[in-house]
Amino acid sequence: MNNFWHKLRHDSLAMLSLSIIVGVILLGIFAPWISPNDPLQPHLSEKFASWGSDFPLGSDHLGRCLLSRLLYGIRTTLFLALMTMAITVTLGTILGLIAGYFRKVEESMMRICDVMLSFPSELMILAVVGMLGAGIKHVIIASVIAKVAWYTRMVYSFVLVHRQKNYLLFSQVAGVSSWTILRKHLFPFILDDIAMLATLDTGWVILSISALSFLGLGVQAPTPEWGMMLSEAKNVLSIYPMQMIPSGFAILIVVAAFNFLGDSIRDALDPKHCLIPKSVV
Amino acid sequence: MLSVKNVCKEYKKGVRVLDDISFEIASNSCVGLIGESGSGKSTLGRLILGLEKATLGAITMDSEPIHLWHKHNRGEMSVVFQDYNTSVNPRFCVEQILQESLWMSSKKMSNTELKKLLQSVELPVSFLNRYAHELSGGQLQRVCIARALVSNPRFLLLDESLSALDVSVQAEIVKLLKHIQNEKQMSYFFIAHDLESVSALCDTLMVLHQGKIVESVRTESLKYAQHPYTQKLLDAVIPF
Amino acid sequence: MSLLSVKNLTIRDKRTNNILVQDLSFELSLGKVLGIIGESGSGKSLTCKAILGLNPDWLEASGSVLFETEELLGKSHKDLRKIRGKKIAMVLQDAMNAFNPLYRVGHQMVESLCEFMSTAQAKKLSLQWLVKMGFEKPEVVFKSYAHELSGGMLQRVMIALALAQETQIIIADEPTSALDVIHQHEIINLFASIRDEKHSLIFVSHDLGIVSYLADDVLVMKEGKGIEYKPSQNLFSNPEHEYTNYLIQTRRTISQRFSQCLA
Repeated sequence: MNNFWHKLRHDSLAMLSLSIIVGVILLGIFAPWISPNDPLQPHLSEKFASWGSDFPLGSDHLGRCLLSRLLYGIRTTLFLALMTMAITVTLGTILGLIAGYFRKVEESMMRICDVMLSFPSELMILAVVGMLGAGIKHVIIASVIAKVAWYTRMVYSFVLVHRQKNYLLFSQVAGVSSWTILRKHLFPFILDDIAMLATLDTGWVILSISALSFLGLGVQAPTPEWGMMLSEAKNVLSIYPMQMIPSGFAILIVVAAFNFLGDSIRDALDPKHCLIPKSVV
Repeated sequence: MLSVKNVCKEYKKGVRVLDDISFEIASNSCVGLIGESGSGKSTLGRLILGLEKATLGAITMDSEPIHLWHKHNRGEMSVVFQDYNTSVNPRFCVEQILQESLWMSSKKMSNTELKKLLQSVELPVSFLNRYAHELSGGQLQRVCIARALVSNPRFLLLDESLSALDVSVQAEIVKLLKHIQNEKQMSYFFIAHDLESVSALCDTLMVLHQGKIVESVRTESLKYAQHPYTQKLLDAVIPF
Repeated sequence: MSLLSVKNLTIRDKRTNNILVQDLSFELSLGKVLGIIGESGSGKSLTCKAILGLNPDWLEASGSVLFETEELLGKSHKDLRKIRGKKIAMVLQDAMNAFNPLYRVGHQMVESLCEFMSTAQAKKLSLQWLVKMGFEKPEVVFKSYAHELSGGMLQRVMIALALAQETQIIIADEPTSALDVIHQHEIINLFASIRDEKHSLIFVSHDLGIVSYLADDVLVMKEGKGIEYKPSQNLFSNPEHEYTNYLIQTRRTISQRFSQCLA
């Protein structure tokens, strides 16, 4: 584990990505104190204001401060994405551990996963949101449903690697309960892999929440959300194209940061990908 | 103590990995089971350990069905596997490995107990904080034996526990196992493919061939063995 | 004249600067068997691989490995490939992993042989050697995939391949350690049967019984150093070094009861 942090610390791209993510999260938390204006307050007289001191990143078609909306948008976009990921990962890990370790439910759970995985996830989300109706709660539910099968499958395959290892057999012989075996032996092993997958996937969830808001299915106006801000900017593209830039870049940078960090974590966890070679006798 | 009666095991219908196996192991004795790979000897071990269930027949311990016995007598049976590398969780240090048997009892071994345990398998106390990859094969197998002894078992199953070790280390482990048996009064069931190490440790030998026990002899009367397969095994030993 | 002579072979790990094998010297004459014994981690396998340049790049070998009059250390991979499988063949411990699971065993045999001959000839030769290795139905083996054969059978196929190439030297690195006693016996007899004027053998094992049965000369290794190097009979009857004595004593302890019971 020390080796892992050591490798990650020497990876400048990973550190940059991590600081961007942490920075953005902090900005989101302190949004009420940092933001120069009320994100919901329209100033119709000052719509399409250019970059300047009153509106640092300009204002939109209703004269709302874009920077303030961007900062408050972190709370919806990023925090909702992280929450979705947390729910998905927790659920997927529990289901995957159960499917991998208890043979009785293995078959049925995996076949259900197969069925769920046979739909493209975008289609699945649209279908669920279509059924439940628009709204951010439903978007989260839809994203969880679309992704949880995939996580269950991944955790299941990690468990399979370890299931036949002798130390698990020994625990069983020693009379250790299944729950303790799962908690003390299997869970620590899959934790790293899950962390890596989750980081890589957070970018995807941000995109999918933004995409749904862009389509008008997710967050409803006037709540600030990056995807919806992009959608609003699209309507005035011909008059004021600059309105797209803040939200567009914010999505780009945060998603890229999560993807790069995920890649770096994967490399750092891979023992074959060595910065400092171990002595081999 | 342990009694196996007419046990059969099928994984696929009609293909018997084990066919009508019957034998008994008295308390405080050491019985060896010899067979080549694929003869079903490890399957038999797993049945006795309660990891799998027999298709037909009964395995009883102290005249109680084996799966019930396991529930009532936690820790009374233990095991040492062949592949010491996968036998311990690579993230655990030796102390954690040894404490594992006590997870269920909410007890913990004191430092003096741990020291005593390591001494009993002839390892230095300084090993407590080492990880598996920092130990040699022989040392790690000793840790596995120590771990098996934590719960004071009356029955120890040795599943090819010596095969992956160097001959010199094998000799030391055999000595250690004999010493432990004298001290702690327990039964060994030793599964192996190598006649020499089995006869070094065991009083009785059983020969398993294609899922059947073809011969069962006292070690001293090995030369009177009748079955052609046993003869073949005896001939295959390269004397030193 | 010796066929292969290794002088002051030293293998160093470039990353940690650990010396893994130190000042090892031995010779192999035509028609002789050299046994190398030692516990795991004593550098036996590294030595074997160093002869053929099979160690990874971060292991640096120095000293000299003379095959006939050719120096093998420091040769390029391209030049070494002309020696591997033509002059010197190697049989590995883990036969299971030595074959590609996607191709039939026979295909892989022919592929290795057809550098020297036509495909038809290669097939004929492989089948001949499979028969000599004690396979009753060589065609079946020829058409099998690696997972369809047992470890012992694969090991025999690998030896058949090594012999079919008609190399002068065969290096066998723990060829029987992963096998059952019965299969081990077959393989040992095979090696014993090819001991003739045309072949030389380096046989690596941790089991003194096998080495004493096969080898003419024995090299005892401990922690990367050659501790004792003597003719086999001399070594086992009159070991000089304490460690050799320890190995012999422990081996006796294992077989003692067995021999008593059979006597």
